[in-house]
Formats: sequence, structure tokens, C-alpha cells
Amino acid sequence: MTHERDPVLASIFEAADKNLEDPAFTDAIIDRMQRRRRRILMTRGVIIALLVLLEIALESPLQNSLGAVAEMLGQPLVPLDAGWLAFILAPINSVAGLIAVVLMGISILYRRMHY
Amino acid sequence: MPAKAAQYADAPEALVISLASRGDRDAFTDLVRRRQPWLRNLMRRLCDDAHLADDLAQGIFLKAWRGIRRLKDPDRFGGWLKQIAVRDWIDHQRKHRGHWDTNYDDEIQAAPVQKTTTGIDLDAALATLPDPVRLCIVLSYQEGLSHPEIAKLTGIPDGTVKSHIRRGSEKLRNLLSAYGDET
Repeated sequence: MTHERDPVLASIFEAADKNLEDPAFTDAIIDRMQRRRRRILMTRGVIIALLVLLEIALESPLQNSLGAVAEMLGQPLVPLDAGWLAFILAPINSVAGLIAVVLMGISILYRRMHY
Repeated sequence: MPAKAAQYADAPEALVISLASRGDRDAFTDLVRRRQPWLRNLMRRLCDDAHLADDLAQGIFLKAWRGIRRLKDPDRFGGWLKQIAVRDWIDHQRKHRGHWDTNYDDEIQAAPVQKTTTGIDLDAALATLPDPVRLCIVLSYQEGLSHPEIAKLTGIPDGTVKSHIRRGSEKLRNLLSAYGDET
């Protein structure tokens, strides 16, 4: 037996329960649910509008920046005339290639030091 | 009540819960209608303030609406709602009083119990008990939970639950019988 309840108190608790079914209470909750839904929709609308505005405002500078970075990464490190040597070295003879080689080197070094 | 919600009135609760968990607002409205007498009575036992109790009950239903999609087993709805209610009430008391000490050492207050036209005011008597004691008493007598169930639901150790209920029942009985003698 884990629990013994006082019968007098139990009957007092039983008698204290009232029928509290009230349509106004349900309506108040529905109203709060609808207000919350409207608030969420409005917040989402504001965020989307801000993102669109941001995209419009940054469209030109953003595209210019990306274009400049792409151009810079493709620049050859050593100017070579067109030919078989330029063709073979093309993957590593660029800023992007150099960055890739450096990152691979760091990765190999890290593995050797820690494993 | 919306027409669609009225259609759910005779449907089995498990089905209504299942529909509500899929985002059916009318099904949830029907759940509110079904469960509000129980929840409002529970909150009144805990709060001794009908307006506050109703306000908390509304908040609990709103939390339930937000989280019902995560409820996998419709049979657990009642227990799950009770869990939200208990946690919400504990949070409210913690904010209101600035602490929630399950191992209080204070003497149970002997505040006068207000007389009402309907007889013994149980809620007023409960309000004189410290929060953790009141919670254990209400969960035991109002909800019929066992000590381990109360311990699990409230996070209060099993032995403390037992002691709270023993001491709380004794004090409550004294308060209510003293009041009964006066009338």
C-alpha cells in the first residue's frame, strides 16, 4: 500500500468539484489561438519582406563581389603561354589551386600529428 | 461552437486527439470543451483565485495546442496535459514567490479560512498550505495519483511526497474541522 487517503478529505474534494463547462472559456482560447496565428503570419510576412528588400538592396554589390572573388581565384600564379605545360598545370596554377594545396597540406599535417 | 467542432462532440476522444495532433483546430476546440471542467477545477484547487486559475488554464491549453503535434500516443493526452499544468503552476509560483523549495521547513500557516455560502471553502484552506504540500495534496486527493506518480510528475522525492501528504492532510483536516465547528 503506497497511499492512504483520508475519507473525509476525499469526500470534501469530491464535493468541491463544480461543473465548469463554459463556452465563453472555450471561445477565449480560440480567440487567443487565432491572435497567435495572426501574429506568427505577420512576423513571417515581415521577415520575408525584409529579406526581399535586403536582396534588392544588396543585389548589385553582392553579385559584383562574387564575380570579383571568382575572377581572383582563377588568376594564374605563374603566367604560362598556352601549351601542354599550361594545360597540365592549370588545376594548381591558380589562387584557388594554391588555397586547395595549402588546405590539403594542413589536413595531412593535422592527421599525422593527431592520429 | 463552430459547426465542425460540434460534429466531434460524439466522437471518441482518441480520434479527436489524433485529429488535433494533425493540426485540426476544430478537433482541438472540442478537446478544450471536454477537458476544461477538469483542468479548471484542478487549477482552482491549486490557485485559490478563480481568475488566475482560468488564466493559467487558458495558457496551458495554448501550450498543449503548440505541442500536440509531438504527442504520439493519444491515450497519454490526459497525463500529458496534467504534466503541462503542474509545470506551469510550479513556474508561476516560482516567479511569483521567487523560489520553489520542495523541502521547506516552515510551519504551515494558520491563516483564517474564509467562509463561503456553499460551506467549507476547500480552496481557501488549501491556500494556507505551502506550495509543495498543496501540490502533493491536490494531486493525491483531486487526481487520485499515488506517491510515486506524484514524485515522478513533480520531481519531489518519494519520501518527501509522503511526508507532505501526511502533514498536509493533518493540517487541512484541522483547518476544515475547525471551520466546520464554527458553523
